[in-house]
Amino acid sequence: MSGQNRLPAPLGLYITRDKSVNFTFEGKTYQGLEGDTIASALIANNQWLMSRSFKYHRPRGPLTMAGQDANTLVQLSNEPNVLADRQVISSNLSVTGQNYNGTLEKDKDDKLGYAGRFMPVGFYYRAFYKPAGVWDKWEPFIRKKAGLGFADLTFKPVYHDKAYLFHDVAVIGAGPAGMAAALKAANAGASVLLVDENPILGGALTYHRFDIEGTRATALRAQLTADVLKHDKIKVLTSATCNGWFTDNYLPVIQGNRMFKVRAKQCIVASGAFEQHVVFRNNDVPGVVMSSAAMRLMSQYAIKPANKAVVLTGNDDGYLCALELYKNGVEVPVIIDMRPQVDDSALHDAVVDLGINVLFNSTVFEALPSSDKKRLSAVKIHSITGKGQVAASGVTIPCDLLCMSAGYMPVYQLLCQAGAKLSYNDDSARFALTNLPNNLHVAGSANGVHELDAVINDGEQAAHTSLLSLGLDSEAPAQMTCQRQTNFPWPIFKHPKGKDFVDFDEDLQAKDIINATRLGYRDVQLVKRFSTVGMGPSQGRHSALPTARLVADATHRTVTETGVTTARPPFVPEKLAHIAGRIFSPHRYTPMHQRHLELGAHMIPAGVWRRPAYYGKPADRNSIIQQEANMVRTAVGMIDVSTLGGLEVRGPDAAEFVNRIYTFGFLKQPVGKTRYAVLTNEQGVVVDDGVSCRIAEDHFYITATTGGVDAVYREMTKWNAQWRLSVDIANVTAAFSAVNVAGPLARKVLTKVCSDVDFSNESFPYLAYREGTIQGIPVRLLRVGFVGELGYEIHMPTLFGEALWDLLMEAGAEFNMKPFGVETQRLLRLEKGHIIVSQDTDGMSHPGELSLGWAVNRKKPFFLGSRSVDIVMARKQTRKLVGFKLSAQSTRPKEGHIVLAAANQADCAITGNVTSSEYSSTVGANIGMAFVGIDQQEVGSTFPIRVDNGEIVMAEVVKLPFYDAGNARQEII
Amino acid sequence: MKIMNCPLNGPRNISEFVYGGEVKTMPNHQTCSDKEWAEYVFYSDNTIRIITEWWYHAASGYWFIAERHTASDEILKTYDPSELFNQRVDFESKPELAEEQSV
Amino acid sequence: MGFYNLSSAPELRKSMLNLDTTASIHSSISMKDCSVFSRVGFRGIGAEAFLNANKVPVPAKPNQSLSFQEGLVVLRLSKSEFWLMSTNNQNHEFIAALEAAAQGVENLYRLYCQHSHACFLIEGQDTGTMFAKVCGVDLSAQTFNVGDVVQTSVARISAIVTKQTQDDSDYILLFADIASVQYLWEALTDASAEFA
Repeated sequence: MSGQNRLPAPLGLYITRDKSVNFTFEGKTYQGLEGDTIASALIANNQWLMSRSFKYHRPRGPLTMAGQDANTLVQLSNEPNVLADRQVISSNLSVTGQNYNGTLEKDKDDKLGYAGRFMPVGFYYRAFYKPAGVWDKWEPFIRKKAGLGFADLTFKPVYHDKAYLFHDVAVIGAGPAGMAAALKAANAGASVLLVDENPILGGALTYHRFDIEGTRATALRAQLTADVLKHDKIKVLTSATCNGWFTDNYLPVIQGNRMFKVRAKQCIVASGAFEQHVVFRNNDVPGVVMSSAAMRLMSQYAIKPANKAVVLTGNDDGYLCALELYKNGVEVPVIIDMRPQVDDSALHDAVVDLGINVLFNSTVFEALPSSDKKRLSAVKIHSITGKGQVAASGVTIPCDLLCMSAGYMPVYQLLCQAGAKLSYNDDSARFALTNLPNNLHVAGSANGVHELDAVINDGEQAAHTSLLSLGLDSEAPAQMTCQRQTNFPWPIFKHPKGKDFVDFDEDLQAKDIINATRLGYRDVQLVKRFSTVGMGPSQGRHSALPTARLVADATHRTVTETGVTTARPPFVPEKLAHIAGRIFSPHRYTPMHQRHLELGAHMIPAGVWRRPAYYGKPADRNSIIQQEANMVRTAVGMIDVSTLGGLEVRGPDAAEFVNRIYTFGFLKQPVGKTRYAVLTNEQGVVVDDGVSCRIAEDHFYITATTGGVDAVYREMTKWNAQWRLSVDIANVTAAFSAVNVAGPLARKVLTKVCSDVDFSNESFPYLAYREGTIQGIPVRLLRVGFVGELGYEIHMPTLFGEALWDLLMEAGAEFNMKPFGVETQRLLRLEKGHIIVSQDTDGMSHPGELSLGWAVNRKKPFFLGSRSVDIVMARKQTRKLVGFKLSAQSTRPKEGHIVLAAANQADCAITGNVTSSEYSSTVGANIGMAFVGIDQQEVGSTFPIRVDNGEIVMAEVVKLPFYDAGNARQEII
Repeated sequence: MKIMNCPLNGPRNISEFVYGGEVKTMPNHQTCSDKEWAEYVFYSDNTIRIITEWWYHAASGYWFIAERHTASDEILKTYDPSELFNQRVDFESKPELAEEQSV
Repeated sequence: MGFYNLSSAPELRKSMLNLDTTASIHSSISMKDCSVFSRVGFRGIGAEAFLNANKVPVPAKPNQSLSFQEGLVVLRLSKSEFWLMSTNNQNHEFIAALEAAAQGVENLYRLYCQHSHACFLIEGQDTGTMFAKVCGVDLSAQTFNVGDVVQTSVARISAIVTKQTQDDSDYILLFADIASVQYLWEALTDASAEFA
């Protein structure tokens, strides 16, 4: 038998008795059973101490046995901050405690508790605030003392992914309300998703006792579970946590390594309630637990949690807990009831019949730990004399377990994320959730309903409402109300010696909250930020309510007025791997991609595309680029320009449309000619450029920048949704691939492969457009000059891209034609002074600054930026894009380096920046383009650029282009 | 994640859409003042009310119009732009318009 | 300019998918690259009448598809946009003739979908579950019917998905950016791997 304290079947819903599992905790081997969590297996072996508290290093053990407290955070070999009461053990799992100095058993830092009175609330904020910089010195020390585990830096990523689930109804929580809701919805024909964080269905039915005989829960759970599991309209996810609510019922549900993105038309939150603790001195000693935790240990793990247990209650549920303990052989000397009387006298009679004493109007005022501090040894009981007040003396009763039932707080997190308001009735101490968005419903104890019949009814009510919204037939369940009082209004007994914890995660005591209000923090949100209450791993599950009560009381308000702190996603900590899922990083290849790789291209990202930067090793970048450039200048080269954007505008209004979009005049553009097309947005800023080819009177083919084409297409279609011109606009970027064959020998290459086009300068002049075929492949031919040599862009339907590349490479072989990359192209066009929109322009560049006035027709009635261009061009100009040159020996500026107004003036203005810069062997100098101040643009003058390390270099303004000013090479031959 | 009903494609995750700004009426760009033009280009009211916006369904390349409340973020209706724009828009020639040169 | 025929040289078409670099998996979901199979698209207010006149049946509503003859599928993507696809790659002449017939017809624009979109044909009973891993629209067997067309995002790129049936067996046609074909194939292969 694994562990000394196991109870007989049928207890132990989570465990498999005949399968034992060995694991280690703090280096010592323990045996548990399959299905045990680390915490249950340790408790089965009488090991209650599991962690040290965050601030005072106090010994801690499980509080909830449901993963709702930070007391069970442990370290696995590859993962910190694991909840021991949720992590199921596996063979040879290695577990250690965390946040201690020495060992878990003997933590040298536990003396910090004695220093507690010198560490008041807000201590760190106040003590390390001045002098400036002191925090930096203290931080490493404090972090070490208050660290939570360590990350495994040798960690290997594990495959995580995501998947959508689509359902009519998602039910969060498979307790009695959730299962009843799921069944009613599914029976009416809805497709239902039922999610529960526990390994089996049942919620409170898996541990809570609902009647004196103790038979109701088991029978009901068996029946509901069977009905749910056999229903083909219900999909069940267990061990799955719904970690948030997002707009329109978008629910992230984490199960194992997968995050489900649930899309539900209706969502029913039946998430249950968190049992609340009682605030008294030493309420954190291991062995002081929620009643529900004790019942979970018995029912789910078949563990007898103690030999002698005392129950401290503020409702009738404590009596049921006492009955369950008694039935399982735990001696229960006394039930301490904070109330003056019991609600259900039959319960009282039942416990008295078993010889259990009941003390009304009493509370535990102090828990006494054993001498080694590792376990509860006794409780001190005082009678209650007023709200939070107790009699001076009390009696001490030895026990090794104290079960607390102060009431329940709805698991309201998901609902509040959806905008629901949590309201609290200060008289009845009941919660209600209101203001839910459409298609979101709450049911069961989350809705303040606790009687089992009423809980089931409430689930059915929520299902009924959902079904009506779905348009499905549904019979309304009978209305039922639940009057059961579960919340004791003031379970807070502040002790003069403190250690009466409100928040176990952050070691905050009752006085800390009160002191925060005295320091002026009246708002519960500010109290949270100042004191850190509710900021720990349990996120206010237990601290929110006592904090709200204390703040309300200290500021003479009601809890309704103070409210509670905001709950935000995620509900439980989630790993980044869950959010990331598997990596979807779309990237685009041109049809020549394989050829580039075969030719040894150095590929670089260009937006979502991959393009060859140059062909060769990065170590040889500079020399390769000069070689490739030299090849184009002296012979012929070819570049893959398939990533160029492509747009088609067709129809009777095609010319009118293009004329309205781009700055130039296009109405009279002749068929068979190309024109430079500059796009300004409505603000007059140059946002894209390309070449417009007029294929027919009613047909334009326009190129656009690689990164800009999608936005240009969107703008075009948006404008025509308003203008209603008779045109068809198509984004043909991917449909056409293209190469540019450039260099003095380009014509020779083309004439070899394309026989149906006359390539002579007379028939196919500069800026002309022709169509033809290359071995049956239809091609569009543009005579262009981007790199400043005789050049043809050949555009072909994409599925022919690779075939055409091969044909051209073969044809060019006799001229030693080789491919060149995009970095070489950038150098070549820089030598020609051609701008690249978005590299040489920014979000403010208007055509005047870029010397593009020649490409703007300011006489036509309209183009997108026309009015703004008129306005900015009429104003005083402030900067200009110019070409510059530095000697080859000078430090070469980098793109982005700033241009200064003056060279030797430390505080002078920044007038511009370098946009392009490269060494040109053709020019024999470092060349570039830069924005300069309007008074710095004179050709021949110099301007200062601040380069790396603060060095100032003087660049000379040069008239563009740097190369072949007469354009003879691209136009005349 | 929010769901928006596309008039062409039905209800979809908001991530499938691109925002296109408020539907605005362009002033007569030839006669309005610089200030009027600047207000048209740069300013938004940003008040609590139902606004009319352009939205684009990326996968189908479809522009449509949505009416949305700026405080509740509720989308009240979506429809094809032809419901608002059903007339061909033309721009008057500038008085001094010169003949465009053939290049 | 002469008529620029996209249907020309079908034998020189080459898909950009390179399977040498893709891990092969064993999955109950089968996926075939049909990117080079003949296709054509038309758009414009005259498109429906043109197709009718050429004896091509068209779906009554946008975002619907239908099969006709042997191995031809017509998708209606909007009021005025239609794509025609040969799923068995046996209807090239028909498609080429249709493209030629479109010449000079008013209010009718040919689309370049043959070269702008890759096309996969996907079969297998877990296809809907696999798509739930890459797509935010419910493509499960219960909700995604034969003849439905969905224009959405698949593995973060825009795609057109339709379901059709042949010989009592349903299949899915997926069209997406041709330049992303390698990426998409690998993403779908990975998503399919768990379905043995």
